[in-house]
Amino acid sequence: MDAGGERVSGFMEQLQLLHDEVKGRHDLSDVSERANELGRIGVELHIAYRDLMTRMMKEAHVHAGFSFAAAVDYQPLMAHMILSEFANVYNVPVSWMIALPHRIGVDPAFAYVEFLDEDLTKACFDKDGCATEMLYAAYLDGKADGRVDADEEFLFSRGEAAAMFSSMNAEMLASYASGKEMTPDEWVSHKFGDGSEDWSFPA
Amino acid sequence: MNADIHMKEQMGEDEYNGWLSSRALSAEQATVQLRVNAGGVLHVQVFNPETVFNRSYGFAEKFVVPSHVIDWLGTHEGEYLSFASGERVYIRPEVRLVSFEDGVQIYIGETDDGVNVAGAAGFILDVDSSKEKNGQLIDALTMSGLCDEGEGSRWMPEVSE
Repeated sequence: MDAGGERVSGFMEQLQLLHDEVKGRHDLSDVSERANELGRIGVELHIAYRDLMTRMMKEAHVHAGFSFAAAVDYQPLMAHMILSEFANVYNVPVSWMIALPHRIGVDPAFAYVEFLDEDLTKACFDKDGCATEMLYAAYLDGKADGRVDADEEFLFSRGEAAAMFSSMNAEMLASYASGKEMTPDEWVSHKFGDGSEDWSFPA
Repeated sequence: MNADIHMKEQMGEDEYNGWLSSRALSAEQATVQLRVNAGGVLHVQVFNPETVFNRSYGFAEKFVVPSHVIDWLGTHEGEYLSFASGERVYIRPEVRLVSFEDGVQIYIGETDDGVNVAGAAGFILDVDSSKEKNGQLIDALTMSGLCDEGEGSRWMPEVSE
C-alpha cells in the first residue's frame, strides 16, 4: 500500500490508511451489485429474526416450540457476509474490514455499512490494552498474503484467555496430526481443503 | 522398465501373461484401481492393454481429494497388487468418468444414494479439467473406454427447501 508515493509497510499503518479510506457511511446499493444483493438478504434475515423472536415471546406462556430463537444470533453471520464483499471491493482480507470500527444497518428502506470516525485503538484494543483477536487475525492474514512484511512482529499483547484458548487448540491439533503422521498445517489443509484439491465435492 | 514403451513389448509373452494373471487383469480390457493407503492423497492406477500414458502399464497419478474419500479408502484392505510393485494395497471399486455439458465428474463406488458424506460407500466429485494432471486422467480414462457421456448438467447435491 502506498501513501503519497511512500511505501507503507507497517501493519497498523496500513490498517489506519484503510480506515481513513473507508471512513463514513456506504449505502450497499452504491458499493456493488453483490453488496446490494447481500443487503437484501440481510433485510430478510432481520425480518425473519424479528418474526421468530416475536412468536417466541408471544407464545412462550403456552409452549416452548420456538424457544430456540433465544440462541439465534444472525448478526455476526450477516456482518461477515457483507464485509466480505467490502473486502473484495477494497482488496483486503475480510478480517481487516471486520477489525475496523463499524456499524451495519439493515432496513427494508435501506442497508448500509458505516465505518465509524473514531480512534482505531478504541476498536482494536480492550480496556486492559490487549489487542482484540480480530486485530491479531488481521495481522496474520496480512502476513499470509504478503501485505505485511514477513519479519514484522505483532507488537501487542493478546488477551490471556484468547491466547490460552489457541494454545490449547494448538496442542490438541499437534497431537491429533501427529497420530496421522502429518504436521498440523498438513492436517488442516487435508481436512478443510486449501483450494488445491484436484477433485472436489460439487457445490 | 521404460515408461514410454508398453510393458507387453518389454516382456516376453509368458512373463507378460504371468504378470496379467498375478494382477487379475484381462489382456483386452482396461482396469482402474485405487490405493487404500497413499498418505493422504488418492493414488490411481489405470491399466490399458495397448496405450502408454505416463507408465509402461498405462497411467498413474496422485490426486488431492476431500478427506472423506481418503478416510473411506482407509477402511479397506488391499485386494489387488500394484501394477508397479508387489504390494497388495489396491481396490477396484466402480470408477466412471462422466462428461456433462457443464463439466466432468468422477463417480467412485456405490453412487446410487448417500454419496459424499462421512460413512458413504460412494462419491461423486468434480474434476477440474483445466488442471493439467486432470486433463491427463481424462485422456487416459477416455482412451481406455472408461468415460461416459452424461445427460444434461453435472450431478449436484440436493438442497433442502
